[in-house]
Parts: sequence; structure tokens; C-alpha cells
Amino acid sequence: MSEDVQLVQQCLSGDELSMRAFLSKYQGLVFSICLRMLGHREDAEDVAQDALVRVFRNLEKWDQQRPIKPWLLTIAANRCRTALGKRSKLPSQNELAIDLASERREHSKHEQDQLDIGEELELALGELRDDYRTCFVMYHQEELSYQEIGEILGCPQGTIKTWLHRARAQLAKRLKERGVVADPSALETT
Amino acid sequence: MNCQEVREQLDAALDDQRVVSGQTDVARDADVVAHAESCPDCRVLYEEHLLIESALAVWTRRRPTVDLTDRVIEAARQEGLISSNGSAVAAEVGSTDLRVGQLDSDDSPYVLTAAQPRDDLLYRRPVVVALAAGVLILLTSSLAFFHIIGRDMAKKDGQIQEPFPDQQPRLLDGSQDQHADISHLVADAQSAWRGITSRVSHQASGFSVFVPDLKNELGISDVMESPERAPGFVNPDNDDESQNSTRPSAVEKAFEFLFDDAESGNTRTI
Repeated sequence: MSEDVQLVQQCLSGDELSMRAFLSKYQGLVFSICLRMLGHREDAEDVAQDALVRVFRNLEKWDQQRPIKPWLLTIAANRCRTALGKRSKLPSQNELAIDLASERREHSKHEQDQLDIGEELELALGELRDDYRTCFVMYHQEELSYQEIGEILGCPQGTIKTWLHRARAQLAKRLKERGVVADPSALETT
Repeated sequence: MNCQEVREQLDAALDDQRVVSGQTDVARDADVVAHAESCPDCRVLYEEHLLIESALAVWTRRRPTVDLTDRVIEAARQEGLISSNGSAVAAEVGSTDLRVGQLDSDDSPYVLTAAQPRDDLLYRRPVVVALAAGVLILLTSSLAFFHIIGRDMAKKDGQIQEPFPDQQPRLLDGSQDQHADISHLVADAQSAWRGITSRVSHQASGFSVFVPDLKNELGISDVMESPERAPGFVNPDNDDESQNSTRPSAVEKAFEFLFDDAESGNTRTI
């Protein structure tokens, strides 16, 4: 029995400590996608909370033969789409990018040299189309497959592949426009 | 190596390796590098590839931080998703597996026992239990309400006499005779009906005041009697009891089987 299956069974019995352990493990994942899709921290917190409560409410429906991560992200993505439908005005994605960049700067000042390009990528991500950005984050950050992303976003794999390719091309173009240059020697030392 | 092959390799490199910590093999591929140096278009693509690689190597290390634990737990508790004895659970996280067990009250409080999944409906569905209890309470309250209202109505109209005045207030407990309990209920129902029919008769009689001619033309004699003619009716505005006719109304006739024997004054019981 996998760790996730055991943890879920404990959660299904209503055990609070197990539910806290589950949240500790997966709330970052759910919140990350909510933040990427909504672009607003407070909204993302509210929607992530709603999504996680729904997760607990429907845990018994999870197919234990499949990984839990795509199932969680499907619920989170659905809640985000509902929230986006209700929202009349989207905040600037740049605000989110600046928030995330400053947060990273606070956490890792000793990695300042590398964070520069990471922050630039964050800013560039904020300027991408919503579906490109979500697709890029799911693939490169959450390490989901094309098939899993397609199931979560309700698109064919070919579409996901195209979106990902375009996202990378646009990000690289914007990084270049900002004057960011890759240092091959730095790459070789990592 | 041609341009198409270089582009395919660059794309495939990011797809396959996802670049979580550094340079992909394709960036070191001598053929790719040699082609990129000689082809301006492919050199642009190669530089972009290096740019994304180096950015991803830093960017993918951290998610945005958040702590929603208390908010989610509170919301889950309000929905009844957390068991009341959930606090008595201890967790032990091992290197390879996660064990969470419930403290066994019969053993040492520090001994972990294997947690058993609780599948019973009452445990996992406290909302169902609460709903069932609510319906039961509502039903009981409704029965008690109508029972009291019926009695009060009959008493108010002076149509009821206590069926068992010498007895204590009735409680349907196991110490009383079941037959007597049923009789009490029937007597109460009769009293309630008397009050209702008396009121109906009173209203009908009031209507007849306005249509006396119609009454005569139709030859109606018993229908819509004046309230003063209803048996047992006491006019609060007139102390003359002689006007209280003993002539039965049509409504009373219709519900005759429910009424007491007027002359004997006894209440019928089953």
C-alpha cells in the first residue's frame, strides 16, 4: 500500500492529524496552481481552501490505482475556472510575478546570482497567456505528463504540446528582450 | 546535421529532461553547437534554448509558500469531515512509510495500534444522524402542538368537559393502562372536533343573518342556524340561558357520532 493510499484512508476516517499531514504535503501544490491561474494571492488562497475542502469531501472517489497529484490538480483547476468565470476583472499578472520574485529574493539571498534570471522568468511568465502559463507550470514545475495536463485542462495532448512549445519560445524571446543572457559557463558548473 | 534536426533535438531535450538542474545533453552536443555557430537562425534558437535552460534550473526549485492548514481544517470540521475523537490519534512518519494509528485506551497510552478504517454509516455520516434526529424532533413537536391546540380550542368554546377530571395529567408511560391511554386520545380528539364544529356552526349562522329570504325560499330550516341555537353555546353578552336552544345544528348532526350524550353529560370513550 502506497504512502498516499494509507494517508488517504486515515483522512477518510476523519483523523485530524492525518488530514494535517495531507495538507502539509499537498497544499503547496494546489495553491501554486491556483496562484498561477488566478494571478491574485488572496483569491488563490480562498480558492485553494475551497479546493482542499472539496478534496477531503470527495477523497473516497479518488481512484487509488492512479497518482493523486493529477486528481488534486483537476479539482483545483476546476475551482479556478469557476472563480475566473465569476470574476469580472483580472488583476495584472505582473503584480503576481513581482510578488513571487520578491518572495524568492527574501528566501534565497545567497543565490542572488542565479535568482536574477529566475526572477526574470517569473516576470516573463506573468505576461504569458493564462493557458500557456498554466501548462508551462504543470509541466516544468509539477512535472506532469502531457496526458495528465490534457486531462486536467480538458485538452488533447497535441494542444498541450503546442502550448508548451509556444510558451517556451515566448519566454525566451522576452528574456532576450529584457537583456538576459545565458551564461554557458554558469550552466556547466551547475 | 541540418536545421530541422537541430530544432527537433532542442525541443526534445526540454521535453525529455525537463531541465530541473542544469544543462541538457543537447547543449553539449558538438554537432548541434557546430551547426548553431554556422547557421544564424539556429544560433538564435540555440541561445534561446540555453536561456530557458538556465532560467528553469533556478526557477523550478521553489513553489510559492502558503499555510492554509488551519483554515482548511476548520472548514472541514464545520462540514463534519473530522471525527470528534480525531485528536486521540498519533502519527509516526517513517523513512519509507507513514503510519498513523489510534491510541488504544486499554493499553499504554503511548502504544500505537493499527488504525482501522471506520466504515459504519453513523461514524462517517454525522450529518445523516443529525438530520434524522431533527426530523424526529419536528414530528414529535408537531404532534404535541396540534394536540394542545385542539384541546385549548375546545375549552375556549365551552364545549369540553374534562373526560377524566379525577385523574392526573396524562402521560403515555409504561405504568398506565394502554387501553386507557387510547381512550384519552380519542376523547381529546372528540373535544377538538366539538370545538371546530362549534366554530363552523357559529360562522355559518352569522352568514344566515344576511340571507334570511334565501333561507326561506329554499326551505332551509336546519342549515345555518344561529350560534345561539348550537347546543351548549353560551352567549357571553347575554346571561339569559333560556335562549340557549337545544335544537341541534346541521353541522352537529353531521358529526353527531362524535358528540357526547347531551342529556347524560357523559363523555363517550372507546
